Amino acid sequence: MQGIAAVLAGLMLMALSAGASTPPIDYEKVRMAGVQRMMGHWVRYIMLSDASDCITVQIFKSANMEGLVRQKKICSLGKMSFRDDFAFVDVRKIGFEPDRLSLEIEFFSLRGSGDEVKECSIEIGNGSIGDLKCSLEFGSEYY
Amino acid sequence: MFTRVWKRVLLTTPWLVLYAAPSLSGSTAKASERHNDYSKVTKADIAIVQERAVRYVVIADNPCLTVQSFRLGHPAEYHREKFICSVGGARFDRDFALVDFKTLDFHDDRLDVEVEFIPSRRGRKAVRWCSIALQPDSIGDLMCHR
Repeated sequence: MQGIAAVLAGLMLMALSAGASTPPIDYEKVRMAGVQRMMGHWVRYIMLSDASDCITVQIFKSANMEGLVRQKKICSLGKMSFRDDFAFVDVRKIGFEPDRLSLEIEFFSLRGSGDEVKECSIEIGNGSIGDLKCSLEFGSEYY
Repeated sequence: MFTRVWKRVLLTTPWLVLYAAPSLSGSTAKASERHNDYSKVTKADIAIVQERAVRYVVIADNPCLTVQSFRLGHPAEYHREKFICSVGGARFDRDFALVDFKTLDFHDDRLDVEVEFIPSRRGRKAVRWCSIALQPDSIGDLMCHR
């Protein structure tokens, strides 16, 4: 009996932890999306209108958005969280380059020192998605 | 300071409108006539046009272009939705092998669309510049230039 309880508890824990790490995407709230074929796969970026400012990048096997190979939700620039470390982050444009996504992002500082529009990129490899990189200087850190 | 706040309101308003809208759009009879599988979205964007937040959505395996408008400042009021599935009398699913919405750009009173038409029978594919008129209370049909 204790064994069954332990197994059930373990399964519940696994289900909960899986749910926590991969929350479902409410695609109906899409406000910005694009797809392009890159290196034999289909790469999609998607942003939702839930005010989280995150950019989700996905790699699919097929053009009809089936066969998810990789997915990454990008909500920060280095250690800087979009939500906590900026007053506002506005992703203005996203485009496709042969090996990366190019982005134009406006960062509004928390300290009220204005905003900066930066050219950024996310590297796309063969089944891999890189981090967001921008030419943004923040304090002594350079991202 | 005012400029910054105003800019932020402009930028965030259409998103917030959309945030609340889907739950309502499902309740309208017009919206429920067709079902969009949004998980297969391939192109989407939103802009403020004619005092409405307007969104277009292109979905894989779906020949139609969806255009939706939402009232600004009234997130509970879903306004218009139109499924554009034909041009003139020609239906995308019946009269063409493929209709590809290549680029879509919002303007003050319209959505411009660059469309590639691949005929289902013999014939050459054609790229046409088309537009959809956007008015506060209506979403127009797809009109293409020769």
